[in-house]
Amino acid sequence: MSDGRAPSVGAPLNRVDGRLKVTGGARYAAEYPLPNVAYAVIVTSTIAKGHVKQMDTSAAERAPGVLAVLTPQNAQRLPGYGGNTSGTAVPNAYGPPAMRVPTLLQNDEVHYNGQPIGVVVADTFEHATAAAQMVKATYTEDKPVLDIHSAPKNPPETVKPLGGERTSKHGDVASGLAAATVKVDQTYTTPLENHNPMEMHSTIAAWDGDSLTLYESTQGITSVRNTVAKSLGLTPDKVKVVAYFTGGGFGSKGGPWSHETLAAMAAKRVNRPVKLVLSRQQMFGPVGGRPHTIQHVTLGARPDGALTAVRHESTSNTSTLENWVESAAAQTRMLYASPNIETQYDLIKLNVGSPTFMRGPGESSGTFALESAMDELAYALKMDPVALRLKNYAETDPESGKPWSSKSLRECYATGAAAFGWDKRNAVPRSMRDGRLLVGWGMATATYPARRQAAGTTARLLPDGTIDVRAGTQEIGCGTYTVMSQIAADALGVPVSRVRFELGNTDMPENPASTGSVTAASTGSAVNEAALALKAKIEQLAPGGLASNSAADIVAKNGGQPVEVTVTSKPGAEQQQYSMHSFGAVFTEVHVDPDLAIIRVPRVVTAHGVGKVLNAKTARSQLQGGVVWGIGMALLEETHVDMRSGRYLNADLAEYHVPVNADVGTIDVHFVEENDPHVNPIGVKGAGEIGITGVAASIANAVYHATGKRVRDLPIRLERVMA
Amino acid sequence: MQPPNIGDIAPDFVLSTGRWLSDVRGAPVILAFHEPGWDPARADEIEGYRHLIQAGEEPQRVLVSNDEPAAALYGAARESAVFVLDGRGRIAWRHVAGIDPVESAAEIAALGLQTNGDGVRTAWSRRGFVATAIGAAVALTLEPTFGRAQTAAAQLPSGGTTTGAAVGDAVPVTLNVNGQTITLNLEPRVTLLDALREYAGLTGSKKGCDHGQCGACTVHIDRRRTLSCLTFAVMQQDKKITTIEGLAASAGATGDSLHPMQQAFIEHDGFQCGYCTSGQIMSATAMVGEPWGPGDDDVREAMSGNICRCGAYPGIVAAVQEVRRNGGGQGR
Amino acid sequence: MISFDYISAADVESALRAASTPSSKFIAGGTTLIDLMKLDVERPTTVVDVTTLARRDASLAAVSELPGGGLRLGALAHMSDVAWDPRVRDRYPLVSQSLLLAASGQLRNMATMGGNILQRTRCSYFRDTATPCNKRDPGSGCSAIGGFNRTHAILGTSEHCIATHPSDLAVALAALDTTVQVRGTAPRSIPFADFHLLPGAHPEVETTLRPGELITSIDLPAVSFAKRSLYLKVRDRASYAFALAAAAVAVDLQGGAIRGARVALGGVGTKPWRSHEAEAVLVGKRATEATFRAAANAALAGARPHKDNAFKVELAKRTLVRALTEVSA
Repeated sequence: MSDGRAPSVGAPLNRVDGRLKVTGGARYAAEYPLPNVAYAVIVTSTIAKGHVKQMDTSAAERAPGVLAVLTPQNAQRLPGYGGNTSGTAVPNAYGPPAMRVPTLLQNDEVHYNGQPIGVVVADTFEHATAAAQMVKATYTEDKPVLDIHSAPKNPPETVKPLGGERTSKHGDVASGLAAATVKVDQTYTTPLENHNPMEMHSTIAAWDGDSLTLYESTQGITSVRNTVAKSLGLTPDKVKVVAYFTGGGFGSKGGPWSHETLAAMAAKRVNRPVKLVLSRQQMFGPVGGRPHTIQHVTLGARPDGALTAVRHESTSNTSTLENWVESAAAQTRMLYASPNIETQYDLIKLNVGSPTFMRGPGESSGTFALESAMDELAYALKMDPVALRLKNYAETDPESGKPWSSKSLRECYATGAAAFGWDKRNAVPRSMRDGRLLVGWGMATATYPARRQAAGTTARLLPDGTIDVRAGTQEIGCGTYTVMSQIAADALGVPVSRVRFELGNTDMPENPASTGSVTAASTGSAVNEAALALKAKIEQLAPGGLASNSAADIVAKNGGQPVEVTVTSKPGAEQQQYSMHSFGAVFTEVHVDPDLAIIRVPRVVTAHGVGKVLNAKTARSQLQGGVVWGIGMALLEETHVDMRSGRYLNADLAEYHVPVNADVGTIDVHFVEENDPHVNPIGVKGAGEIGITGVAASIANAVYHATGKRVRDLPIRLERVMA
Repeated sequence: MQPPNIGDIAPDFVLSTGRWLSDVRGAPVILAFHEPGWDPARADEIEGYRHLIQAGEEPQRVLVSNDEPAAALYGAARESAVFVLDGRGRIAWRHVAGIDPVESAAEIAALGLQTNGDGVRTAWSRRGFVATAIGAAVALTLEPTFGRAQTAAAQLPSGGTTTGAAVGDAVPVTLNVNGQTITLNLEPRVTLLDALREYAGLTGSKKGCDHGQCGACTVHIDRRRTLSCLTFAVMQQDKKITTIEGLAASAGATGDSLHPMQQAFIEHDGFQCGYCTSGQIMSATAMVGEPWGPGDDDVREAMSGNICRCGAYPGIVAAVQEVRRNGGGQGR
Repeated sequence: MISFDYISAADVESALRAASTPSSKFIAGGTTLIDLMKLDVERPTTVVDVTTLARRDASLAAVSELPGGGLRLGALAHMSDVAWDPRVRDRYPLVSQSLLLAASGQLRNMATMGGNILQRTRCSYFRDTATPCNKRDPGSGCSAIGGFNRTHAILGTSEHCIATHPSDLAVALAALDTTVQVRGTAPRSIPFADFHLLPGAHPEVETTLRPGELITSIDLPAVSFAKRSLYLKVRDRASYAFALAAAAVAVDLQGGAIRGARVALGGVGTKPWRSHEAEAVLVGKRATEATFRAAANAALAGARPHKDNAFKVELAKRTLVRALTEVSA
């Protein structure tokens, strides 16, 4: 630091937005007090497949306070919807394959039960909800396709995982299996899940002439702006999106769905600002979820544990609106050094809401299968599961042959095992007890790609000495306000308290969506670059910079104007030179009641190498949160759909079980220090997604160790252990 | 220092642009001071003020400052305050929280400020920021149909009653919230949570499920933790309601001080996105007064009615345990 | 939610008068009623607030002594107040436990005794107005039979309804020969066993409470051995979840022999499930695992599982065996 100050990056600083969050002062999307706001409530379908024949809105229209009822019959036609005969070719900032195809009342088609088919707008929330319950739709109903086990597979050419190919082939698995002395050949399944951030998806849409402002609960203000603008036939500069705080997202808020545009349409119709908050029930279907996967894993090994063959075939469901692939085999292509690795994806269309990214997309469900299979292989070989993984340690990326930008997985295994006390494990199932309870110890590997995208930042020195830094990113709980303030402070050599980092407004420089663990790497690099550029500019204006000159003097030398720089920071050639991933190891203790099969997780120890840790406090929280998600995935979470009607059956927080406080014991998070000079200028790899990966397998492996019962279908409910 | 009176020359000071306030004379200026602290939503408040003045869009016409020495000059050292300066630099109107009453719309109109009819579209009527008063008043002159939610929100800081238009079978409902009596016009089917959020402008209590299944809406009613989404506001008249906004004061905290539980949640990072946090803290502060055992598992069980999807449970348990070790800090 | 008239009752008589129309509902804690009103499952046009009755008669919201050593739980007493009451904890541990294992701290501060035993099933088809349900819409059919029924009942079902009764408290009360005191045109007492009805052909009729009748208290009789009692609940989450299986047991042990026993099951019945069959097996036997297993087999002899809930038969047995084992230890 220029002034000898200790770096703030890495320190466990309290969140700079903490005070606002603990006082109720942080403002979320539905909380902007716009004058004259009206309330919109979405009406959803009650069949899963077919067409809306008629919507009887007469009672709703007569109900007190009702301003408008939008239906497929009367909704404005959207110039940017571009629907073809099936009505499904729709704009989206992502482009295919992750399309989040909305349903915007442009046709009468019904693709899943609970699909938006109307919007009621009224002067109060109470009037709107009551009137929405009065809308009665009749349908021409077709038999929905709901069973992934019996439905036909998509044509292979429609299966396009994001950023990868449908199949991969490295070596020859058939010959590798022929050379194997020990094999594991099993099928693992994961269920439908829904994100359920605590804040429901919410929009306030306000028109000012032909300009639209959306106060939005989102992880991606830019993608919301671009997509909604396109749907409405506007240029993006006519749409402004504001999201200073987002109450969790986990992927569901990574881009827009239907309700943003529907709110804008409603606001246009009633010529007032409109607030639209989904109900918790509407969080099941219209805003994505994790798809069902059926994963077939085949492993072959020599007696010493060396993998001669790895095959991973994953079939997941998509919706009839789009083809979205859960990339559950992604980690299998790069995690272990085998000469023969093959992977393949298939898709099955069901009449359910579209799947999308959900925390640790791909790797969370994929590591459950691969790392369970590795545990099975370890038992088949009578080998310690950590030793088996070390035996197959990949020193370079097995798929591409590229070197890692950094990898400290070996240290993660060692650190985690030591902290956990893994060496005291008796590997024999049912061999360890705590009183009556069966004790199980399991482990698994965690991994997630380290990605980076282009990001912009403006940094300004104000006359009062404040460093104002702006980037159009999002605060979804990851600590973005805090860590960006730290990065800027260190680059400029000023205390964090002098930095004011602003985000969440499309008037600010464009940044990627807060998804896929890209924010710290992308926005962080841009903030760093902007702060360094600002420092250089200050130095140019006033030699000695901030250490030797007052801010007022510097500003005066700048013609009385704040000193300002704007940068766009992009990844470069390193992306092609290196394979970039985070790694970790998850060690879990479970206690299982031998009679009642109640499973509890009193202790999880993790060790992760995630590049530079920007804030030890918030990064720890992210990884702990990922583990909590893993506990939910392993033991609790499953969205149930009625196999006749396609109705979401547990569409609430009483019956869709996310973990509660009592489900979570101690979570001991360790960071393995990594100095990665290649991944990006600030050496960070991201901590949002990797925390969940490996956890479900680690728990399933511990349950096997405790009980001798191998459960290959999530969630591991008690009847699956009793059986 | 006392605030300058109407008609006085506005005390001069250096703006964040480096210019003196007196340099920007020649057109009306709205000068707003907000209480110390940081809020990214202020970006929109500033923009909202800009829209209050039609002629020209020079940004220096609306000045928002948390410059403490300057605020002190205006008798608003730790207060929210709004001063409207005429083109000659004299105070044409003022509102200082805790000193001035809420002004009438007519009085604002009498200032002769030209306003932009479509301009009041942004979020400037932030509760707790006295700008709400002027904002609401100006808005009333702009928007004949200005909603009752905003009226309530705007007037709450003054402790007055609201006069929303009667809709359907709405009836006056008087609530005691955070030590203030407010009267809202509500249908009986309005839940306490919606009354707080949509009618009273108190958005600190959160809606996470609306069915009593997540705990985000937890408030204290007569000192007990209660789910505001599962009770009708009309049933809670004559009760003492405390929300996250009034928690610290209810425990005797003054000024900017936080309740010990709030501070502990910050220290132990007992939240991430922050959406469940109000409910967690309200639940935790009440739980401390319930007859639970001392262990971490007691906290886990007692706090299981508050779901945190970010998974901040370890920090929440640590925060509650620290407060319990330090004697409770129970605020109701 | 439909619009309704709200009436705050000053006294019991006026509450009864106000609730005399068929489409009126009493509201106390509101935790079931408002939940279901938001779902459009409950559609009262008059809501009579009875929480105000306690201002005139505090005993309605209190725990008080009954002659002979029993306890009267006022209908308006909150779950949390009863759960933490030292007399309840001492004399009826299973009642306190059943309350503390139910819902959440906030809900227990709101929900009342009277409301608790009237709470309605969690069957997702009942809660979804878009699907047929005989309980919600008589004659429309049962979607749970042939649907997803993992959480549904295995005891007391009919071809018209397999919905589980959700209350934990009611299971403990069923074990204790409790009496429900009611005010209507005249006061009357309803033995707890007669209070809830099996679904039969009319699952929409859930209790023997007559229209307009108001529960005033739940009376716990003196049961000398209720001190040795337990409520054991098995659920998916560690907390804040409804029972997959639960057992409320009390045992009168004398030198290793069982002189008296009370057994009721939760999470498996269409009503709080008292098992006289299990009690008959237990009484007079030695407190051994074999005895408990025989009792459990007797309790579940009539179980009728469906596609997804067959596991509940064995789970309920093991839950009962565990509860009897722990309470006898």
